[in-house]
Amino acid sequence: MQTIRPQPDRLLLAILGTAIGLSVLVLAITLFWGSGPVIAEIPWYIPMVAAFISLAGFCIAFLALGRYQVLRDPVSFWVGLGFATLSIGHLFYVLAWPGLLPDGRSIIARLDNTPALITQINLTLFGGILLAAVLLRSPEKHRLVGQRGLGAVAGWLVFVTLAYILLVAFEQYLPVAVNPDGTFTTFSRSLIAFHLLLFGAGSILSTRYYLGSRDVLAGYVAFAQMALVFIILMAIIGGKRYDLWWYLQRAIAVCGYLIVLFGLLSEYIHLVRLEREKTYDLHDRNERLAFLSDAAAELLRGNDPNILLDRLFQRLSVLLGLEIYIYYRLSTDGPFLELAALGGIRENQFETLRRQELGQAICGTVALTQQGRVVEDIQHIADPQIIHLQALGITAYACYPLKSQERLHGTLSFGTRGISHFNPGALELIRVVCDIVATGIERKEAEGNLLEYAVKLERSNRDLQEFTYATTHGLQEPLRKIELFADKLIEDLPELEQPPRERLARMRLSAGQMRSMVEGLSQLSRLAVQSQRLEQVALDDVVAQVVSDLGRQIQSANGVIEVSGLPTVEADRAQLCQLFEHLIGNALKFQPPGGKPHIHITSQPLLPDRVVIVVQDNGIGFEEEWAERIFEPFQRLVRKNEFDGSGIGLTICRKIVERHQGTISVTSKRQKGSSFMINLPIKQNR
Amino acid sequence: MLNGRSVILVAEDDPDDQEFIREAIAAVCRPGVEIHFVEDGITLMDYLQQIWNQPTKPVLIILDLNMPRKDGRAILRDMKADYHLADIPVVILTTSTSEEDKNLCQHLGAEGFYHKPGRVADLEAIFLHLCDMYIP
Repeated sequence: MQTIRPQPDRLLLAILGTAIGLSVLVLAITLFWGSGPVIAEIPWYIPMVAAFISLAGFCIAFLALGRYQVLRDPVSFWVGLGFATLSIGHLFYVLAWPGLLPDGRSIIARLDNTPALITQINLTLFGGILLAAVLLRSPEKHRLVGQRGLGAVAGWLVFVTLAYILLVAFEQYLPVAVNPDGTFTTFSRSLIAFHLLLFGAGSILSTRYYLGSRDVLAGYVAFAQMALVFIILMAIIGGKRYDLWWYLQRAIAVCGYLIVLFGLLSEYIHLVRLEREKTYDLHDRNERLAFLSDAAAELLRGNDPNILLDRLFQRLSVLLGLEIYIYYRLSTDGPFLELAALGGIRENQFETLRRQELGQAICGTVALTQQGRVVEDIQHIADPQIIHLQALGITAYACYPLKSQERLHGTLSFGTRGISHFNPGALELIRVVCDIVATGIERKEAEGNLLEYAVKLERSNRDLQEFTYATTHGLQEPLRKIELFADKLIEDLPELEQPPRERLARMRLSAGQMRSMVEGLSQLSRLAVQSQRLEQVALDDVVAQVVSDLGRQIQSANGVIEVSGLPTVEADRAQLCQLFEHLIGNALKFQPPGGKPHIHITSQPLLPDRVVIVVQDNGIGFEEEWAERIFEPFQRLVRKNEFDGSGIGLTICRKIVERHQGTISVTSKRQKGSSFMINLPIKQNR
Repeated sequence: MLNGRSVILVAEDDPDDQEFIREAIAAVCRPGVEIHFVEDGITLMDYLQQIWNQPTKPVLIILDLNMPRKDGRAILRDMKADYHLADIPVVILTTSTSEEDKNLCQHLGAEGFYHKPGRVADLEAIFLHLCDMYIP
């Protein structure tokens, strides 16, 4: 439960003072000018007071229950209930007052003799409820009733009303409170003594509670109970109607009610104010939160830091009323700041400050110390450092370093011409913006570095490939000649015996193999540096061309090639020719002795934008476990002299397929043949 | 044809390759075939301009693509563009294994395109075929 400490509110204190003053006045008048019987002749004086008390009581109950709605504290609940009950009692008091009607009767005739009794009953109930307020103030004990809240109040009030109505029915059975001569009966006196106990104990408990918790309402409850104790004492002393003490009682009761009423009213207004402030505060906080999340989103967008700063400033200026910003970047040439961006100030107004040394002026010192500086009430300060700020009409100024990862990038400052002091929340927000801008700067730098590195890497890669290509290309020539000269040697020396002749032949063979391998490497590296010429290529045509180029080879191998329905894809035609030349060449080559190569080339669409081409042969095949390694360079799965070849043909095929954003794989069975699957996109992503 | 002799003009800068070609032609072509070597593109064009006015034009030109001073591809283009030289058959004999070169030369009108082989027998086969085709 929140404890409300009432703020001193001058207006309300004035009202309270007036109420007390008026009450004292009424008391004075009553004491010195009104003599008992004179006022008693006014038939409506007492009922009027009672009616007023009833009304005031209802107001108090209303305020107390309103307080309960907000604070949910048990004391408010019980006080509201108590005063409501009291008010109903007073209402019946008025109805029971004799002499109100012209013929001298009371409004409810049957209640003629009961006003005093009603008062007693009223006080009993009131006292009991106020005691409950203090005894049952802990939420656990209060829970039983408190949970039903206002429903319980309504129910109780209805019950009380009904009870009073019953009184009307059974008034003759009720004990009499006042003797015909105006003195209290024994019954009445004992009840009065009981009330004394009730309110006495109650006021002591309430005071203790108030002193402990400083709960304002407890204070009022204590006050009300003490007043009643006083009133009862006077009743005992007086014992008679219309005498001095009797009036005093009434006056004090009115006084007390007014004090409680106005006290609650002031607290109510204070509460309302607090609520409103809380709402403003919440609204404020929501706006700030929204700004921060937008700022984070801006950062993520990855814009240039200047754009980021500009966007953030737009929002900040609306939110905090800022009018200018100044962004200095730390120079890479020396210990000074250079103006990088300006907002809200014309360029020419700031000419002299395009450059600041570290340690000079505000931004300079901020950059040197790497601590923020806030200058407020600028127009009324004499400081040489801020002369230029004064000249621009700035009233409050905050400058913060732009730091990320312990590196200083520069400074960022914000200023306003409207207010002379920043509130702490505003400074916090400005600091956050500075952090965000610093992060943005750092990120942009990192991006730049990364890009530079990537470019270098790509260039280095290209250089490597070009070097490889040039080298391998150059190596082929001497190798060819070695092979040719070896060949010539064998021709020139027909009389050479077998072992040396055989050795020459193997030398020739090795030279040829090496040339083949180098040629393969050359082709492979050329694929890496070559730019592709993309066009719509009909794969049927490509295969037809390859078949025509390999004509002699196919014929001498007795090969049969079947092609069915190949699609058209976007590709480099020459490279695809190379691809099929290798695949078909291999299929023709890797046959068992006397075998007849039979090659099937088909295609299947795959997803909406890819196609799979299958090149199936009936050659010697290989074990499934080599399916991956077969595409590596120089992975020979057959004895060196069995089959010719560079050993790099399938590597070239894979490179070509990969450069077309595709994949190639193979399944095979020894002696049964192999099936190459080429997965290609129909369109190339450039 | 001059006095029953045919001239094959060979543009080849490598002396080893010159020897191989000479020996291959001697092995498979009929006697009386003369071979004239030029070492680069400029010399080739000069030679062609020289015999421009004479009726003895070479019956065949063997052209390497990668030559100093003027590239074989440029020579081919110029020759085929020249009305008087265009009808001389040009056959490319080169180390280049590039598919683009093959297509380019075919497109420019070369009558043949061969990779320099690594076996004497293969080289002789090429010239046997060429002599059959172009040497009367």
